[in-house]
Amino acid sequence: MNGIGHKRQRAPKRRTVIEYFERALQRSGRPQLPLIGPLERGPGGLAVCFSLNLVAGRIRGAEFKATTCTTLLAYCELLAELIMGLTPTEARRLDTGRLIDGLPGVPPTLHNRAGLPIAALTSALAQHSAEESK
Amino acid sequence: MKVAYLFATSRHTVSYVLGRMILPQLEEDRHGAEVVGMFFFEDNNYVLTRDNPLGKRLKAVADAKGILLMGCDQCCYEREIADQLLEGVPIGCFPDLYAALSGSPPDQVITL
Repeated sequence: MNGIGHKRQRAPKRRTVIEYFERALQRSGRPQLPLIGPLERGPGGLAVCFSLNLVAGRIRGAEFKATTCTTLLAYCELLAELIMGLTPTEARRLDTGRLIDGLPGVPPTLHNRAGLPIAALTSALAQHSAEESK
Repeated sequence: MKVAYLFATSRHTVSYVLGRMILPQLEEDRHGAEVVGMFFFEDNNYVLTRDNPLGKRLKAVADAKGILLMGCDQCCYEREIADQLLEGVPIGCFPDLYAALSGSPPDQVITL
């Protein structure tokens, strides 16, 4: 607990790429959460869509649908874990560097796959902001 | 004839079929077919790691002849070697393999 009584967000346990990938596969078939972001497309036919559940201004649930690229799914899973408990403002600060640092086993040539989950999350959060301001 | 090899089984295909047959034949320019690519599954990916002597020979031939070498991404991640492969050897899955071979598509894809 920090000085104002809020729980500090614990960093997710360090897992391997394949562990994140396998955790991502377990999300298959789960229903999307209320805040469904747009489908973000990347090169090579890759695509990601995040859906979120916000409670009292914090992200309490995150699901995603993504094309079946091992690296992409691992990055999506890591991101879904990182944003739990964050406010949308805090979540927006996460960038590709954070994902790349979180999965050190990914070869540099595939680091660019971290961009698509970030883009999908950004879109979902932007959609939330737009709906909030209506 | 252009061929691509998929090393999919654990029947000594790397140490024996590749190591004692295909690779020496390629080094001696007498393999009999133009090899455009090789894709590695499961434990066969260990040949692509940086310190593997057979892998180093294979990479030298691949560079000289323009042969694509690629490791299965899931298999490499499972073995935690994805970031320890020979310089320039990518990991990927079938879409990446076929995209990489699209410029020189094989006539035959041979699974070993």
